[in-house]
Amino acid sequence: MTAIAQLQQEWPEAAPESMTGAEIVWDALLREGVDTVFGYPGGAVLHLYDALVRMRGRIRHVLVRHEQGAVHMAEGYAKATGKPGVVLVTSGPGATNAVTGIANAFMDSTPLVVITGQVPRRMIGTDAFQEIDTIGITRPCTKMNYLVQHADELATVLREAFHLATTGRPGPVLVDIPKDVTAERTRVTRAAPLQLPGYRPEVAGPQDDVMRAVETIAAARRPVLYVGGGVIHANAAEEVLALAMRMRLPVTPTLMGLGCFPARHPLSLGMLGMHGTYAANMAISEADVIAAIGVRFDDRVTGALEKFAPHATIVHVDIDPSSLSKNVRAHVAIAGDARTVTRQMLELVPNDGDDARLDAWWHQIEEWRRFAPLAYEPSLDSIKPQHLCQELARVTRGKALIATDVGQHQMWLAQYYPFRTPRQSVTSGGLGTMGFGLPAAIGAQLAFPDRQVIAFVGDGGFQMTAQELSTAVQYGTNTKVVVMNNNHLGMVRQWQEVFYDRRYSEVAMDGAPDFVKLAEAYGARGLRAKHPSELRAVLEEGLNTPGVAVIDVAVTQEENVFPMVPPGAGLKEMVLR
Amino acid sequence: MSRTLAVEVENRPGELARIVNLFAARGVNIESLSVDATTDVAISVMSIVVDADDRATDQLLRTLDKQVRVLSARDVTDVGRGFSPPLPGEAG
Repeated sequence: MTAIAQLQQEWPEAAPESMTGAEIVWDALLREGVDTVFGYPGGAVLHLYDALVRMRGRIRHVLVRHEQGAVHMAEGYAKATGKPGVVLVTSGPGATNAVTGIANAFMDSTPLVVITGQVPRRMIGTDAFQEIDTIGITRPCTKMNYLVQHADELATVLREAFHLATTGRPGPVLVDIPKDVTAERTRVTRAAPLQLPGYRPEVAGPQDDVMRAVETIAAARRPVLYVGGGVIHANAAEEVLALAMRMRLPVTPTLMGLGCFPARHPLSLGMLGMHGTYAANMAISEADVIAAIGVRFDDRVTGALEKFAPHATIVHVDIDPSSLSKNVRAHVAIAGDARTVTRQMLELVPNDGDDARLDAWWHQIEEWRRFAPLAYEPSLDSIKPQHLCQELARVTRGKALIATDVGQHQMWLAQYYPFRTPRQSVTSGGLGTMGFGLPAAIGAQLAFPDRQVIAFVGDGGFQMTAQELSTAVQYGTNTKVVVMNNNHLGMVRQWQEVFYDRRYSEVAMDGAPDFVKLAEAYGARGLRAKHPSELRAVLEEGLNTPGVAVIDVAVTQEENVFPMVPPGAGLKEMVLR
Repeated sequence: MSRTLAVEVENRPGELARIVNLFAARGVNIESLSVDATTDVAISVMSIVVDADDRATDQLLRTLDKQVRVLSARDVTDVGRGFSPPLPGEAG
């Protein structure tokens, strides 16, 4: 008997209705409507990648250059579309490289399903090659995670994973699958009905509480509507706009809420918080009622808690009951979905709107707006980073989908770019992950090939994940990278300037490559702007170049982001310049 | 002060680790812990004694309660040191 014939006898063709674990995984992804998977192969996921060969034309696999990039791309895809992002990586270093991205998605409530390979079951706990306790490492930064013990469980676990990732407060769910489970055959190829007795995400708010919320806001003389990422996750932007207009409420979005309320709307105060506008921070500080929807009173928003909104009655609506009264005690706390609860509120808003009631408040707000609008010292010799953001807004007519890294460029863009629709801004808010911008932009671009998608990054963060340019080129994307290059870790430098008497410590990025040549090395186009007079032309040329382009913009090096609320200070104590 | 928390949880691998990790990550020391079976084999009850103030306890309970496999989380300090495991299906 030939060796092959012997093998065939030992591994008889299984009954057609049975599937391998690997086949069940792909079948489950198809059933969930997944069209794109971001991944990187390795030993523990070989069976999965082998089964992927038979998925051609049905699921697109995007081969990244580093697993962190895969997770950020999946997050960019998820934030741009509202659909869950899917990641596939191997065990050990594949999983640990993915952790930063998973933690980022956890902090920003992004729906992801991350599939990691694991060593075969009999080798778990033996310090096997590329073995690490993935579920132990990721337990604190996932909404839920699973170590799959049998192929029989796979279909059900994956159904649960997608359900949990996308409902309630969204978040990353990780499924760790031992290699031999992906080879195991089973007839249990379909998910059992969901059984999650402990999982009951709130949708509607209790009617009494909603009534109290509306009464409180309707009686306010100095109200502010403070809105965040929860409005975007819940697709509640229209309802929030309606509520603001019906009740004539000033609106301030968080960083995560950018685009959930049109930046140029007359009711918008601009972003609040550490680098928020003067008007937004003053309004919050003087408010008698704060209606907070889809937010969590993050420390970058509130400043010193004991000085936060001292006069205000707080109405707080959030999908996560553990966010309510976590940092700031809410007087009316409603656990519920932002859209459902806002709709409930709209039904109760009195029609006999007493418009004159808020005249004095709006008059005061106008004074704050006039007293300290966003401003910077213009320059004829050096490109001011704020000017770069304004030019980018002009050239893209405020319509680009922009992903950012973390730092000064992120804050300036938040201040100066007029985001007007939800899912237009993709940023790393909670975790503050440098290197997020480029892969997130690629993920968003792969979801929307024809949209203008820009990675707006600093020279520091760009160098953390610049290798994903290779992915962007390989998949024929039109992603554009605008590098706000101040040759420094600008935000750290700013803190060293302001709080450490300008003792600069390890913030100069000397030794950075020539980003134009780097782009060319990856097969992309590289452009550079050094002088204000050439900025617009270079941006226009770069953004209109087909394919991938990197636009390196040399900006003023010692420029600071203002307003700024110093750490430990209240919002009213912001430094204006 | 010492508080006794009762946590009803699905009896699955990893759930004890998930729950005690929430305390560890917040620097809260667990003074005593027991895990008991209930009449429903799919559900365990954890009795956890911690030294925490009202606010920290409230936050811990909300965070415990939102875990996918946690059915209920309650402060049973005033109920006494011992308590009867709830009947299966009883709301927390």
